[in-house]
Amino acid sequence: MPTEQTLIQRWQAGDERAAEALYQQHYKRVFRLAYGLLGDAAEAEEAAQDALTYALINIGRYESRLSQFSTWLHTITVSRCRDRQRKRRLATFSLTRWLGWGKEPAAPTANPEGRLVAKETQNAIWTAVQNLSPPLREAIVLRHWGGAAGDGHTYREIADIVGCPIGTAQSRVRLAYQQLSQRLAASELALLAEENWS
Amino acid sequence: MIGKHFSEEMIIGYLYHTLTDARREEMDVHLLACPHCRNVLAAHEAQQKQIDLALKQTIMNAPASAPVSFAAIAPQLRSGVRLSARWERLVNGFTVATAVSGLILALLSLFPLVQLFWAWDLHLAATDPLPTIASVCFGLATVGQFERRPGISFSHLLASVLTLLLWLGTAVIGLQNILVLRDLFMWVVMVQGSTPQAALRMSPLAVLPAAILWVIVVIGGAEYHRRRIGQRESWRLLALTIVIQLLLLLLPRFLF
Repeated sequence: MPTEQTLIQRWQAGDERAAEALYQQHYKRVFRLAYGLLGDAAEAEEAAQDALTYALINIGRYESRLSQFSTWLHTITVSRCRDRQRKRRLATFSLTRWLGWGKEPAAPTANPEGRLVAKETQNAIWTAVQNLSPPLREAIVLRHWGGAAGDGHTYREIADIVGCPIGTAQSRVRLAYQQLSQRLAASELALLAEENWS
Repeated sequence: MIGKHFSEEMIIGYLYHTLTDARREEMDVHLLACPHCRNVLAAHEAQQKQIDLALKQTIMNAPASAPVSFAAIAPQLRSGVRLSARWERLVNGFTVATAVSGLILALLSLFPLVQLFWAWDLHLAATDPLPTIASVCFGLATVGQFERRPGISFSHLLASVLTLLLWLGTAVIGLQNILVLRDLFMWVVMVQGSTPQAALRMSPLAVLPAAILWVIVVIGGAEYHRRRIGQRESWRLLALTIVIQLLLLLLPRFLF
């Protein structure tokens, strides 16, 4: 199985099979990152498509000494997602969102009531993340997901991907978490109030 | 610290590893002795884990349909690679050529500068088109760079060369701006009733601060751009500098 570097070099030399291998290897990851940033599966698919096509067309610009391929790819993905967010109109109707995210995520606990609470918490967190401003959303999603080991990116990588100094990347992650924390506390209070009324 | 305890912001910084090493060590020592801060940290750790789990679960279970097969995008890749290389050479060539032209014009405009500094004919500075044209060239070279990133849209080498050309060019135009500021100052003084000779004698009051500002901006700008070559902030600062310089160059045409 050729390494990623080998595939990149082969595609840079013009071998289309290498491009196909890179495409298959990275599509899911790019899609998931785009989904984390856009919150909509259809838009995430298009953004992932755009990002991978752009990356493969412009493979000549990738310099391995400057960053890992995945970091470079994620930089392009974030850029594509930003383009989509700018074009997004308020009146856009998302079938995926209307149907409720499609597949149900797996519940972390066994008992039925626990599953319901966990699902509500997960949805509350997801909604709160999607309601963050784009720079904060990018920072928190990249911090928690998409890194090489399956966890998040380092602050250096986040700074490179979104195009800001490291200090700014750290501040955004911290601020995003603070806002999430406040919104989750507010939604828990609202839930409690609802239970008291019912 | 707030009273005997660390603020929530500090605790979040500790959790997300954004504190300096010294601060982190200080907190480590404090946490050993403070149950209140330990409890606050534990609560935030639990919430962070919840957020982490929720994000990962939702993202990993994202409802994706099967991706478009590679064969469908292969033609686009083939033509894209050819077009991209050609387009990139064209854009980069135009950008560098514009910046170099601007720099040459700016340097040429320096020749009469020495004479102008000793003259009190206000129209001389206003009618010299070279600095204005040079500034417009720099503006053209900067436009469209904001969304380009080194490694994605162009190489670091190209970004470095372009930044150097623009920094040099704006430094040279800055000298013209000092002359314009001197002329503006003299114009204001003469409007108050002074003679041109008196205004010329007072002109160092404008020239000296402008020259000091020029030195600060040139040296500070060099360091700023060196640290952020190719980044949006660097292009933004260059664009702002060029706009301000252009406005200063155009102002005498409306006043004198």
